[in-house]
Amino acid sequence: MTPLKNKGVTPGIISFLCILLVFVLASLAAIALLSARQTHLTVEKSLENQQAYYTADLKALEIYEKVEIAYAQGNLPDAIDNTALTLSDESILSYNIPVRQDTNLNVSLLLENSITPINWSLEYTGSWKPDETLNVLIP
Amino acid sequence: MKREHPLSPFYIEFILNLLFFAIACCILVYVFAYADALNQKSQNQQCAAIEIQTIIETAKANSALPQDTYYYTQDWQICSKDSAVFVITVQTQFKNTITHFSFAAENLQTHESIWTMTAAMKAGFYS
Repeated sequence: MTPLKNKGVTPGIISFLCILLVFVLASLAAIALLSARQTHLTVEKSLENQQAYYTADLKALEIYEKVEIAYAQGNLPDAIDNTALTLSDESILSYNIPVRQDTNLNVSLLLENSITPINWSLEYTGSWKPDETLNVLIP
Repeated sequence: MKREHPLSPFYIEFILNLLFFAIACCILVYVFAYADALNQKSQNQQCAAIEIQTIIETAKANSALPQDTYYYTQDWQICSKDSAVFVITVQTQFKNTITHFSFAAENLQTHESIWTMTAAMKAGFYS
C-alpha cells in the first residue's frame, strides 16, 4: 500500500487547511452574530423611544383633560400632577412632559372661549457641543 | 520485513481533522442559526411597531376606534384570519374622555409575544 504522502500531500497540510477553514467560518459567524445583535439593540431602542413618546402623550392628554375642567371652573392651578403650567400672554398655557433624556413633549394651549391646542410637539432640550478641535501634527 | 500499520499517521490526522471540523461545524451552524433568529425577531418587532403606530395614528386621524384584531402574513401584509401568521390584538378602555389602547403583537404559529405597547387618544381632539 502506498501512503498518500508519497503522492504529494505533505503531512500537516490537511490540519492547516482545516484550521484555516474553521477560522474563516468562525470569523463570519462572529460578524453575523455581532451584526444581528447590533440590529436588535437598535430596534429595541427605537421601540422604547416610540413607547416613551406614547406614554408622554397619554400624560399630556390627562393634563389637558384636567386643564379643561379647571378652566371651565375658572381656576387654573400652577401645576397638575407635578407638571408646571406656564401662562404667557394671558391666553397661552404651556407645559412640558419629559419623554426621554433631553427630549420633552411640548404642549401649548390657546385659552379662549374653549381650549385649542396650538402646539403638541417633541422638543430637544439638550445642548449640542460641536467638536471644534483639530489635531495638527507639528513636526 | 517491516509491516506497515493499517492506520498510517496521514489517516489518523485526516480522521482527527474530520472530527474537529464536524464539531466546529455544529457550533458554527448553531451560531449562524441564532444570528438569523435574532435578525428575524428584530425585523418582526420593527414591523409590529410600525403596524401598531399606523393603527394608533389612523384611529386618531379618523377619531374612530380601531378593530379588535388585525391579521398579517409572514411579510406583514394585512390578510384574513385563515392565512395569518401574525396577529395584533387591541384592547380598549375608556376613562373619562380619554380612550386607552393596549396593543399586543403575537406570532400565531409559535404563540410568541413580539411586542406590546400602550397608547391613548382623546375623542374629538385631533379633528
